[in-house]
Amino acid sequence: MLEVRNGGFETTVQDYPGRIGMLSLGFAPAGPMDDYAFRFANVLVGNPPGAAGLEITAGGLVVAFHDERAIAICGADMGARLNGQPIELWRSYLVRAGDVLEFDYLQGAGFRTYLAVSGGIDVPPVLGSRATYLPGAIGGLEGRKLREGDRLPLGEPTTDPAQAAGRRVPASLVPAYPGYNEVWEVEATRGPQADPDYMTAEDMAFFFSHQWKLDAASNRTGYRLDIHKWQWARTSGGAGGGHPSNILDNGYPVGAVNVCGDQPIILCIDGPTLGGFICNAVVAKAAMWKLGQMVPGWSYIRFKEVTLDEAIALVKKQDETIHESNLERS
Amino acid sequence: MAEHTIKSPLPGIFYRRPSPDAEPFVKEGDTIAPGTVIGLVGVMKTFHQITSDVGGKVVRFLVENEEAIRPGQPIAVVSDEA
Amino acid sequence: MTGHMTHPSGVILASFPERNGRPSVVYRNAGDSFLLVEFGEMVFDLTMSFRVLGLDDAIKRNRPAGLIETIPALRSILINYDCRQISVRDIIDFVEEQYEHLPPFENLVVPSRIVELPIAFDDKWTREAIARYVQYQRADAPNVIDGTNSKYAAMYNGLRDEEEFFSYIMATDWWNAALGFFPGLPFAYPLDPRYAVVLPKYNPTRHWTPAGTVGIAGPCLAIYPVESAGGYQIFGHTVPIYDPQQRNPAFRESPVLLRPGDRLRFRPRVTDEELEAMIQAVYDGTYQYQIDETATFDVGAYLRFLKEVEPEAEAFRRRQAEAAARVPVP
Repeated sequence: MLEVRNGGFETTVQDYPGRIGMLSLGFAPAGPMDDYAFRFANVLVGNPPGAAGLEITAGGLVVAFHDERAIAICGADMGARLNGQPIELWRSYLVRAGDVLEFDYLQGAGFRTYLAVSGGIDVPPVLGSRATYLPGAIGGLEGRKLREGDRLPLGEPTTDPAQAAGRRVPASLVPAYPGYNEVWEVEATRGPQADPDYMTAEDMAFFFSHQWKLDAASNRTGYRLDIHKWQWARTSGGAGGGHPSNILDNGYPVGAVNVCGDQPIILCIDGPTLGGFICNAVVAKAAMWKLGQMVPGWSYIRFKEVTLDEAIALVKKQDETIHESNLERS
Repeated sequence: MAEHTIKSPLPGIFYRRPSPDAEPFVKEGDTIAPGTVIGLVGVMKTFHQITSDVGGKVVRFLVENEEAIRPGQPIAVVSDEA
Repeated sequence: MTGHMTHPSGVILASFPERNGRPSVVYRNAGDSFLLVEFGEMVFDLTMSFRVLGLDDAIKRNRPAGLIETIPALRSILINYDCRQISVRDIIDFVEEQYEHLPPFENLVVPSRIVELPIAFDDKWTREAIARYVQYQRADAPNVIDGTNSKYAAMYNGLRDEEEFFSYIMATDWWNAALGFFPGLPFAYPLDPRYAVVLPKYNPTRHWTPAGTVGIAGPCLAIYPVESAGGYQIFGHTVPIYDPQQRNPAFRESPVLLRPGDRLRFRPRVTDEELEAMIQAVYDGTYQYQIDETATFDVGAYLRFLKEVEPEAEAFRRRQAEAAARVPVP
């Protein structure tokens, strides 16, 4: 059992890949915003990469352990301390009953960090997943973020916690996050409604070269980028509506860049599943993790166009990277 | 007299007023009690109160209304002089 | 396979012209996990939904490994796939094969439940949402008259008054072409064109809409499953269509009440007090949703009906167009 002494700013139970196969009923998949850090944290403690763990946004979480477990923290530096002693990111540790793990606030670049516990968080799966989906108030613990007094059941570890502890992700596989006011390069393919029929080639060239500022009002639902006056290939949205960004409603890919009037919004893993605005690009699956570490109100994004084949190659490479065989004994 | 710096634990946009038409939470020169709200940080479509951990006099604000702030950034200076 | 074409931008992966009375198909790139399949032209044609749902059903029944799910909409199907297991080429070939073997459109008889929903018009919840909009967002919205949207809706459609508008809502069945945006939110279209009201959207969109609110924008009717922002003109309230806590037998299998291909029928008309009691009964498990689970929809019979009522439908459309030209948009 994991006892929550302070829920922090926004901490949720997540699993990977989340609630899959429910888009047609309006459920976004949810899951970790940074699945790279999340999966590596699980691998470090001997869990399957998708096991349920905690997503800690911007810090403030305090938890106490009630039994012996391996734990690992991967992602943004929040000055984590175990019984008051600083511990490292991207490394597994052994904890015992009575140990207390505290997160301060963000200490540098990055926005979210992940806590994996051997055995995983054993809340009941809802519609096939333990991921918390806040807009639908389901999954995780009662469909909400964690707060003081919550007690999270843990599963049985499949490997000996003492064996799983003391390992780390090699430095070469730990991403360096761009800092405040710096630019993230995000791989993306063209989307279903790009040029030539919805946008002009110039619109798309601008899209793939501009440094887009991430708005402070961005969250797991959508990442809002700056307003831009597009040329548009059409003068109106036809049967979809008056504005050329309108279409007859269709399903939205997870990670799509949805252009609503003048504003592009990246649809994140809690985002709307269907609607009537164009999607001119789709973030590569293997680049989705980067969204999780951007700081709303501060980060910049430049989209790097990749082909479908390149995007698929990135997925396969990422799966090979996030693997136990790549860990080091520390 | 000792001066205390109030910091924001969060990145986001700093607001000195509860809504655009409202009066500021506190003004420079105001005397406040510990726990008084001195502003809000807006991030991810939610707003978090920034409170003073000490009582005293608001000496000055170090960031403007609606300015983007970093975690740990000093927001205001409060002197604990009674 | 004939008709494959690839545009240099890489957006259109394949396209096929109309053949044997089957509408044209375009396969659009939607990234490494999604593929958008579009049918015919971008015009509002409800009968396209029957073809889409017929094909969607065939795809689901014969789903190859790696094809995770389909998200049908009015004239499209978004396919979610696992690029580690299946290629886009193989999906295109598979969908084409299903499309080829789809029975002639006129002979389609599709499963279509009839779901009866009680409705209160210009109820206290709707009035509250509109009052907040006027107070905090836009005091001079032309779509708000006497604290409601219904008088505006009547004017915009050339109807006598809000009572006639309400009678139109109740006079037709509503075809649920898709679910999405939020969990369980229906996108429903009027099956009887003689009562097909249309309405423009809010401007700016409303910050708050209570769960259970019924609204229309364009020709589309939506029920808000959760408390949320919204852009539709709102005029009624019904029983819950989403319950993450699954407190009623109707939600036992899924927290979402409705499915694509359902027909919604608003009856009986109830008072606020009666509806309040019904909502309470939903949550204590005693309310019985009126759902005909075995009903089917005969496309051929429907097409004959459309032909029969076309003169009346055309007369209504003219009356609407004349009225709409005189009414300001929000």
